[in-house]
Amino acid sequence: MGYAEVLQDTSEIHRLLLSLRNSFAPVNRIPPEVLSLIPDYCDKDDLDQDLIKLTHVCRGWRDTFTSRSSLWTKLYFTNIDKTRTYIRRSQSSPMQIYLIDDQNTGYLDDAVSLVIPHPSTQIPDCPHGSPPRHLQPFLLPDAASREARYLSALLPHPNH
Amino acid sequence: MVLLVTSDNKNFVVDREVADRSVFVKNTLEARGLSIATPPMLNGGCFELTSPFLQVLEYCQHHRGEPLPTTDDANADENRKRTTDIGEWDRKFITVDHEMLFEIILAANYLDIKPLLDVGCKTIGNMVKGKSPEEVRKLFDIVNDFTPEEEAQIKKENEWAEDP
Repeated sequence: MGYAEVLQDTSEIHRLLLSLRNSFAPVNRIPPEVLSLIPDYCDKDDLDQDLIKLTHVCRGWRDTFTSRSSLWTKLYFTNIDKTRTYIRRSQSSPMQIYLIDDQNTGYLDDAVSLVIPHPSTQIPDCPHGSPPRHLQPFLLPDAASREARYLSALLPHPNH
Repeated sequence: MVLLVTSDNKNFVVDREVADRSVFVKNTLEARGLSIATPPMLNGGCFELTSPFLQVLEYCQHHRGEPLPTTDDANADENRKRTTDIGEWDRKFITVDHEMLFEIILAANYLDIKPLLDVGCKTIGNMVKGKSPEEVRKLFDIVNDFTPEEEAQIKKENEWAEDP
């Protein structure tokens, strides 16, 4: 075994010991199914950022919070990588996705193509007027195709 | 009156109205037609038994007779959690050290005392709110155990984490 491999093994053992140490932290006596409820009690306004930060605390917490799919179902459509991550973590749970019309929406075509195959999507109502340009092809009656049936709650941002 | 017997053979005699704050105890009593309940979670194990149970009893006695939240409507349940304000008495009650806070949450979860679980979880929610991962680690005595690959992924996530 070479030096590099020994070093890699050592750092892996070190990381495992750190994880073991975390498992004995008093807060981790709370079972994951209860710990994962914590974001439900956070203010809605900052929930997004608080939730993401909780997944950056340790490996155990990352597993706990990313595996509760219902935490990842509300998305502000602002970034393609964020969209991809939320869709993956929401698994098959129904999503609510908000559009912010006054931002640069150049990425939207790509983002919409990510959302369409999501298994839980439904045709939306657009209570605030016409749907955004990017979504209109999917909302026309003639487009009541498989894609349209899969298109979900793509609603305008409630504050806009 | 109801006799609650813990697994280390401590007896607690309480009013039925107090015992019924725990859905677990209430259902146990109703199902078996008994006036004795033995919550099995409260067996010694690796933590002290009597102290958290006394705290839970104190909570149940204070809130006896109050309506319990229903869980029929998921939206109402979600709204209740987000809007739960911790009242003055509850705030003082839950001002305990971390270990006791976690014990109370464990007991509230097992005994199915939803309002108490709300208070405990909301308290932790307030503690982590606005804190960085490093601050949360310090708060709860956790260490960073991510692999370099996971660190790289987290760094990427941080690039969009600040988006609204």
